[in-house]
Amino acid sequence: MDDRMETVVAGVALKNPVITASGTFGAGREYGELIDLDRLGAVTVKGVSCEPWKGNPAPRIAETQSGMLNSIGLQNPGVEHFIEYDLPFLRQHDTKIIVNICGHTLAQYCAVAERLADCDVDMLELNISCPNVEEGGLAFGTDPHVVERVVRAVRHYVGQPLAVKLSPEVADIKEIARAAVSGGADVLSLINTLRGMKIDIHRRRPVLASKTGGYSGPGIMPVALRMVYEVCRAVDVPVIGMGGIATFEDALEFIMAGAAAVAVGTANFHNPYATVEIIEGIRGYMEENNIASLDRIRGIID
Amino acid sequence: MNTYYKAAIRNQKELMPGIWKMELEAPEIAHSARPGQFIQMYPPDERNLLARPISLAAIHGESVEVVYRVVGKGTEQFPRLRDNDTVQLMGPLGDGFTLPEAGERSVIIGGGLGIPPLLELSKRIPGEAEVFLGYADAPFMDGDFRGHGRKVHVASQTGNGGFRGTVLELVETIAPLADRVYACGPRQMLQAVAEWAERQGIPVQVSMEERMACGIGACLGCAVKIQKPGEKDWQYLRVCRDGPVFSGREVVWNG
Repeated sequence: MDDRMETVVAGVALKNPVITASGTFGAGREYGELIDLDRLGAVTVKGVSCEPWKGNPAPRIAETQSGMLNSIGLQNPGVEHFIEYDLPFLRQHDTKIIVNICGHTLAQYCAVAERLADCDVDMLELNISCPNVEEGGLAFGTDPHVVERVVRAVRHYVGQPLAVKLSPEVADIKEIARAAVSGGADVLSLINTLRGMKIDIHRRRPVLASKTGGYSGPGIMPVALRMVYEVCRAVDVPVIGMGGIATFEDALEFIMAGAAAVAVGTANFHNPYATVEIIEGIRGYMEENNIASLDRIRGIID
Repeated sequence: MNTYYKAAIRNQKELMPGIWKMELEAPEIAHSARPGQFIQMYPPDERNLLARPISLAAIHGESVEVVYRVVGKGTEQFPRLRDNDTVQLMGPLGDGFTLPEAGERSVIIGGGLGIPPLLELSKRIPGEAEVFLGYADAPFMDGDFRGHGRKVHVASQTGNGGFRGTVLELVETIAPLADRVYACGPRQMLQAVAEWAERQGIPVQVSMEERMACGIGACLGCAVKIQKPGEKDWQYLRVCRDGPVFSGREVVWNG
């Protein structure tokens, strides 16, 4: 096994720095029919809440130029279903498991973290940045004082390394990042989607039933890259960079900006093999350029 | 078995203004596909990130046929493809129709672009089946159903092709005997068909449509409200994975 790509994030050893982004990959079951999940550094599972959530009305998807909007509303069958059904499935695979957790209230975030504390899960990712739920989500992620308080409260119940997923919809991402770290975040993952909108001019109404949704895809990558760069320079914890990554070149940009690892989301919809191709591409780049370890290029941008 | 690969195109032609048919050299899909399943077709321009879900109209030995309408920036790229050009595909996807038991009589009801997904079903139904097709104006593909010996009734909003009115009005006029109903078309039509079948006490399978992203059940983009028998409440199921064919009586039509 070639370990040049091994990446340790908050004590969790990933075989390579490529992770799936929450909400785009389910719990790996469907994409596992097409790709070998053992190839991935980690799978980040779609947001899990204490109780089942029904999600938002359809249409939930709109395509935009070089991107898309979604308003799923964190539909999920709840943490008990995850533990019983998805976790054993993922554990059959040789990959790390990151569970994205969500809630409408602080108590719900704490409860799901506590329920997972003793489970065979490698990392939790606290979702305080989803734009598609009315309570919780983004409401917890835009004020540095609230971020610090929420992270500190949840941290108390968490049994694994804790990543906090940040929203780009803030005045100063560095300030939010510092607040999350001061609340106890071991890892930061960014960025979540930006709020966007699309109107069907023939029907004269928004395409999405919820009118607005989260914008993702290659169109957001420059924004994501800038924010990852800024955050990597502002805090000492590892950063998982994401936002529009579709190719190995994109992934390397994030790593050079300082990201410890990267997550691939919307690209999976366009190409189910995107993650595997990115891993191969990074490996090829390292071989061609005689790079023995990703640390040689990680954060090399001043 | 779901596969993701590039397939060569054959015999693309415009059936009606804006409605196109093409054959895809896709043995892997053709070997395993069932009537009512669909494929994801990726527009060649990569600025269109999402594939277009398109139902299989016909399944041959080594190829499949699809019929699609040009409705926007994605689908308008497909007519430009010529013989031997390739297009990225994924499929076959979803759960298809359940065929009737031997001796059962079927009624097939299609509206507009909901007609092509019923063709392969009609071919494979072993017993009696009567076909009702509804159009906005001029009919298309009605000959394909007659071609394998089905009795076909045509309705259109303009009266072009026979009966003037909705396809369900035509069904009610003829009042066919049926043990099973199969339907595909606009949501409003499906609802009317499902309610009619419910009144007659006939089980109905409807093929639904929704905007999709992944097409394989991971993203939960294509939600449809379904209430299973014996369950207290409805839930959102996935058109791409749990459907696209659902029992008409399980779909929560209003709301």
